[in-house]
Amino acid sequence: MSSDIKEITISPEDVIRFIGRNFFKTALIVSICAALSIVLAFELPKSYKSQAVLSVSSSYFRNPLVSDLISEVYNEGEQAAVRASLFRRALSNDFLDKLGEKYSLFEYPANHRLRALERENFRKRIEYSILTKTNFKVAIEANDPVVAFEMIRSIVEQTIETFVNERYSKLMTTRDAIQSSVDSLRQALEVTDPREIYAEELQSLEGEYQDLVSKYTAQHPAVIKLRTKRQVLKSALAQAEQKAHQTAAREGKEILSATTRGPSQDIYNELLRKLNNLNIVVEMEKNRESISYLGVVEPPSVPLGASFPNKLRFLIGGIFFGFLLAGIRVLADELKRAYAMSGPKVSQTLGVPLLGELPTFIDRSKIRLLDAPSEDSTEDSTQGTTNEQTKSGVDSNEDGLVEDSVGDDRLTPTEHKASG
Amino acid sequence: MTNSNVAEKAEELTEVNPVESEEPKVESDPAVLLPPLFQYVRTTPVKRLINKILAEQQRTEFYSLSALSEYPGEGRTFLVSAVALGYAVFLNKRVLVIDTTHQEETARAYLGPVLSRGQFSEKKETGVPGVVDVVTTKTLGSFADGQNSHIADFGMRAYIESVRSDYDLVLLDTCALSCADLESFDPLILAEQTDQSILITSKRSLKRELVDRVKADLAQCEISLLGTVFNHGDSL
Repeated sequence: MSSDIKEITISPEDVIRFIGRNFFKTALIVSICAALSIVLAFELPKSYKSQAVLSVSSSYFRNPLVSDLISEVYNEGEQAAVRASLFRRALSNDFLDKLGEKYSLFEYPANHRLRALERENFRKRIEYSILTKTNFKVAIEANDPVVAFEMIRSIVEQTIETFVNERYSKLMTTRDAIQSSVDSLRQALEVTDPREIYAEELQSLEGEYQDLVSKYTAQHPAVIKLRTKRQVLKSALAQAEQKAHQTAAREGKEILSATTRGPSQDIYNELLRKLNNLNIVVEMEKNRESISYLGVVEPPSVPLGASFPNKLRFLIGGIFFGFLLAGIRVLADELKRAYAMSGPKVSQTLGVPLLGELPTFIDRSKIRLLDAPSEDSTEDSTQGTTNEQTKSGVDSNEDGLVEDSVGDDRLTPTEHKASG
Repeated sequence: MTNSNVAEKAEELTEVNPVESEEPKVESDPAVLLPPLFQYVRTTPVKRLINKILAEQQRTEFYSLSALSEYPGEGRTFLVSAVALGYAVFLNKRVLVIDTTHQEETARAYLGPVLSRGQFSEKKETGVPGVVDVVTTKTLGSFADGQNSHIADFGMRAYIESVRSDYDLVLLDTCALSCADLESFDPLILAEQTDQSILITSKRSLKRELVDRVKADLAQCEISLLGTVFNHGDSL
């Protein structure tokens, strides 16, 4: 048997026949699915979504006045990450507990071990999505539109509060650190160092002594007096040095000397300047209304319609599902049709002609007439006739003839006679 | 052939099997069975089928024809009976039916009314025009007695050749292809020994894999298939 690859050609008539065969059932299935989806859309419990759009500009991550003190974030990806992190921080456990209890979202009490699970589920219901480089959207669904609105409003307020407090606390922390340094430096700068005095006197005394030594001998009383005074000053200076070292080691602060006082003064002046800038920024941050880096682009609103179920989407989904089901049904039917054969198709497959067809043979109730009698029935036919006929329900006329099962109108009088 | 000729033929046949008593007719009595079968054979689809077979016979000059089907009850015996009756009554031919199915009663029920001899199981004379003779494998003498039944599968061709001069058409009724076993005569072997075969299909045997298998079997046994006949009727 050859295994030739047969070319299958599809004519437009085949396509039309295919469509004609399957159009009605496809339409029926799709219609039913669409209707069911609409019914489902009406019957399912509705949920309402309320949302808000917030904007946190890049200036939130920068402080030009104190940029050398507080690190800034320039990378957009980092900024987005910080926004997300702060938003998550805004949804603290306490906040979620308070919000959930207010709207009876929790089944278990606060100290129950399953409260944490409920809280997490609640947290997952709050949607956060990035819209642009600076904007992000928060949303939540609830069974009641007003509840959804109030919840998102609380979340927005909490978010704004968190963002503002985070920045303010950073400024305050920095300011406090600078203030502490400034105070420390001021104290150091205000203390007079005795070593300086001793050094000055010693220097002037050294000048006088050299002058006297050049005029008088070493035993001159004035020279001896100056020499003694010089020794006393040196000794006092050495003691003052020793005391200064001991104090620095004990208290951790150095008594500024003449050589270190200058730079320290510069640092002090610089810190003082920065502290002033910080104070300015902090004062500006205190006025919430003047905040420009954070804003509500789209405030929360009461949802007008249910977000779920969306009737249009359900309808589209129902139609799509209907086509899918119809496609499966059509595929099964066509496969069955291709798989099952007909009389002519059998002939075609075998490569022989269809000689003809045998129609259904007469009335089946009369088929019993053709039941095979036993081998002895021919001899005993007369005896068995009545019983057999009664069994088959066949009536015989007064001549003992059996009426034709097909119908007398088919028989000619001659045939009737022949059969009798 | 007109109705009157058919009636005359029916009358002749009934005269050969005279009614022995005035009692109501038995089921196999031609007076009972003949009209339905005659009616059936006279229907257009059956007449066309017989005509088609006749035309093919005239064209290819085949002499023997076997009836095949995959499942029992698809109408092999019925077709053989209808064709035999049609040939005998309409065409006045000499027809021999060889029954290899051991369904003597069934064959007798279909063909008893048209048998000329009154004795179903034995062919006594050479073929008579317009008459159907029926033999079974049991009566084929040395070919198919109980002890040598296996010979009948392979000896059918010789037997058919031996009666060629006596008949115009030899019809071979076989068992279903799916029922071939140790006790039956293999239908494919028998069909290979006839000139042509007809495959009968019904709604039970329309599965593609089945048709493919039959096609493979027929090709393997090199059976010449005249054509197919589709039986709309249910199994009797």
